[in-house]
Amino acid sequence: MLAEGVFDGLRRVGAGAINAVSRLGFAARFFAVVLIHSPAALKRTRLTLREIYFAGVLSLVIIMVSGLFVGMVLGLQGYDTLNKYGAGDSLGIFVGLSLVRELGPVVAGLLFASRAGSAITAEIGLMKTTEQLAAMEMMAVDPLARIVAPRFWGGVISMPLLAALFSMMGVFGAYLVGVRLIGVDSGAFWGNMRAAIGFWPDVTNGII
Amino acid sequence: MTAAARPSAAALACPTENAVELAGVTYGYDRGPLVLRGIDMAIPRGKVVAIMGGSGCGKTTILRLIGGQLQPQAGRVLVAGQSVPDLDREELFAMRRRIGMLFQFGALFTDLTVFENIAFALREHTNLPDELVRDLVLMKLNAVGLRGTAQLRPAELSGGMARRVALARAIALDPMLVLYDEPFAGLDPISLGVVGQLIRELNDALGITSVVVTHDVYESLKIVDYLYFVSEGRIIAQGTPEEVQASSDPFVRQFVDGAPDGPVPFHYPAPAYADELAAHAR
Repeated sequence: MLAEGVFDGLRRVGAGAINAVSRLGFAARFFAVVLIHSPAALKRTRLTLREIYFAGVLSLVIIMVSGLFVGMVLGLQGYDTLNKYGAGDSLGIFVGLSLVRELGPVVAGLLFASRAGSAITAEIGLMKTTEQLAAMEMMAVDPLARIVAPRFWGGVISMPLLAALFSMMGVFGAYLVGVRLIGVDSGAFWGNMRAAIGFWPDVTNGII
Repeated sequence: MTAAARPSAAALACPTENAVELAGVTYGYDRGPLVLRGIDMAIPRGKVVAIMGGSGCGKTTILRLIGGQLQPQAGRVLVAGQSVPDLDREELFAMRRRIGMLFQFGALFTDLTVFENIAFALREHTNLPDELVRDLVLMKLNAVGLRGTAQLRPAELSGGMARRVALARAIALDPMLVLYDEPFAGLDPISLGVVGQLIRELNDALGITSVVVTHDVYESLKIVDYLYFVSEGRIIAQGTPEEVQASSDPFVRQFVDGAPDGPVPFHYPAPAYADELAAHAR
């Protein structure tokens, strides 16, 4: 009885592992095929530009508003804590580093996945159920080249720009609260931030 | 070469006598039961042939095998003399450029206008100038009577109109073979008559071959040259519309007359009715 239960458990673990590897393999193959089709898709700039518009431009409002409010909260809470130790002037460093290195790319990525990602998933799902993808295949057009690759590159191009915009709006929000509302010195806010944040190690790495 | 001896465009597109041939085709989805069990079929060039049968009998699977969307487990599928399962992806796509397909509910691209839907294949596969693409699209739309809908979106069309636009799209590249998957499903009688007539007229005017998968007996008998009846994965009857109407085959009769009981039983297999009803008394 006990042995049977143990074997069942092992079997389940094995099946789960095989399933996970199989899904990983499928994703890797899918990614490889998208990359193979990418040069042809990128050559047709109109398709990719359209996807940059849908994935990127239409996500601007949610990204910028969220960035502004995240920055404002960081400014308020950050100042509150830093000021206890007499380091209120370091608000620029605190806000800049946390936004540019971590919060900006991560939160922008989550927002992008929830807005643009779900929109793309719904769109392709609808195309699948209404046989539009099958119709495309029957017209000798590969849906991976015509549908998936432009959307992939639309996302790849939009995402870093959106992350940068999120961070920018966040810093602006922190400036509004910290400098304009609370009264942190403007020169200290910007000067400390510029001194502490490097373009390559922080901004570029964060975006990548 | 004299005009009489010159081969027609359709003959050039399809060099064999039969546009489609299936021999001993067997197919089952994944590890499920067989859907098709040894289908033999020959569809001559220039004809309109219907494949009929009840829901789930494997009709659409036959179309998918002809279009290369599925691979048979056994048997041969030939289109214009080429063995479809043996084609690599490029050869398959080259073959599909000569095949049009009308899907059950049109499958129009919802983010494109009617005009763009029909221009889609022309733009993907040719380098024709925009003016020529425009003229070709308008000609195809005119052939289905919907030139005035060019700038509408698929969502603005009725079911019958969407089916006609999809038909125009299917013939955009002047195919040698058009596959119709349930072209009459869900249409009102007027739209149904229009689509049926278009299938016949386009077939004759363009010299193409048409394979119509349907369960609409009345409309099919009016427009097709030959019918195959499929049941439980086998061809159980075939013939011209006249032969079918005169047939005494029980399945054909049940199908043509729409009888609720017959070789296709009304009741799903179950234990005896009286036994089941009295089960609580025992």
